[in-house]
Amino acid sequence: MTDPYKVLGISPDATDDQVKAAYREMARKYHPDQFGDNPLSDLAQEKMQEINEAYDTIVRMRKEGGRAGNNYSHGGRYADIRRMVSEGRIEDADTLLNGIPAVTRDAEWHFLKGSVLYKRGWLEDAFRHFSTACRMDPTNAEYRAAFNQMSRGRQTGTYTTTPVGGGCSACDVCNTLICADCCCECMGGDLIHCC
Amino acid sequence: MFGYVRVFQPELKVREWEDYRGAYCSLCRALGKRYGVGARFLLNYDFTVLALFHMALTCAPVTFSKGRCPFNPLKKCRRCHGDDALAFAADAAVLLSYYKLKDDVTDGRFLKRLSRRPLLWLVAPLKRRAARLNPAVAESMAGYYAAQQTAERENASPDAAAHPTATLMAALTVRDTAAGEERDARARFGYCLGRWIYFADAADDWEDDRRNGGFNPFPADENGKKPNVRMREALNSSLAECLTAWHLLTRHQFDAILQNILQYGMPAAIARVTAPPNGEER
Repeated sequence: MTDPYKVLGISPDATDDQVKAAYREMARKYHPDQFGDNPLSDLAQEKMQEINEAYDTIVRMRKEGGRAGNNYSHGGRYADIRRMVSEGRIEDADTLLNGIPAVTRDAEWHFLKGSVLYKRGWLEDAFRHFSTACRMDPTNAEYRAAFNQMSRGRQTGTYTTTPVGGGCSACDVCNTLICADCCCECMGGDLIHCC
Repeated sequence: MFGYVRVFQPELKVREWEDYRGAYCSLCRALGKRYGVGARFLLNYDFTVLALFHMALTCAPVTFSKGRCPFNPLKKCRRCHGDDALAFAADAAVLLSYYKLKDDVTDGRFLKRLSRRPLLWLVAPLKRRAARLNPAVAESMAGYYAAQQTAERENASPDAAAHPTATLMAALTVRDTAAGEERDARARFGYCLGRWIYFADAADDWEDDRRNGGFNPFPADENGKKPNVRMREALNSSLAECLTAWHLLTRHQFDAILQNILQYGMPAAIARVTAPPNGEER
């Protein structure tokens, strides 16, 4: 069975209200009544069933304290710690992480330790833990994304979301068009008729 | 610790350079006014940046007027009227200079200790005055100094060793900002800037520390040489975080100058302190 959180399109750290809201949103979207005689209504029914099952599983897991019968990678073992990290309770999360014996520390432990250190601003140690997490579980996209984001910063020293400098302004676009027009005219053609 | 957070002049517009110089001259005046003529010798560009940072984040526009330098009456200078930020930067300059001298006297070599001791005596009364005028900053400085000494004694990791400086810079950038007024972004900016300054200083002093047996958070690489790549990565990652926090802050003025420092000045400093020695391959 696939991860129920993925089915609902939410993070495992989501609150109960967020889970409920996501379920309602998905149910509205895929409810068979919406499709009527549409040939896709069978598909919608299957999807609806999947959403119902996912919601039931999450509710059951949370009732059981998020531990028993939970085999998902984002599940019970670190659920509390993940919640603390997302709520910004860094020191509490760190204390719990340090309490886990060294022999049982897996890729997720290193990822969470890296996240705690990153939030604290200890970027060197955070990077070390993110790379260990990636080495231990190279297929995990979450660990890889954290590692890649830090790697870019370490290589370039620039803020990656908004490009600093560079880019292409309106003037650049006009200049390029005019140049292209000149080239075309040299070859006997014309790109922009009015100039 | 001083001299790394600077503008990159070739990329600065003339009017921005004049504003920057104006803030520098005004900080000199603020030091003179608050602590007497002698304190003007503690002036440096790093605290000008601190003053500009606080002025940049205040809504009230900062105005300039024309004046002359009292030490060189032939020279015209611009005076900037961001008195509150300038006074704060002046207090920070006095306190940090005192602790830097104290550190030199405690940990420096014989000649350095000998030369710094009289200076420390001269700065001590200024420090007492600064502590009276600005007890909150004085308290964070004292905490910083004690924590730095402990970290160095315990041979801490780079992150742990940079923590005291980073915390101090966070306190200086947050100042008295109330929670919710971009306090977190300011704190993050200050923390990462403090880390950056500490690492830049450590990278710059690496050879000296190695020669004299002083503490340095970066161990030698596998060939026993200066770990330039590692230091550059540590500096880059702190700078990237600084920029992330900077983009979250609402800047009202001097944006171009501070952007210049973050975008060109600090990368230039990274290149300078982690440059391989002459004749060696990068």
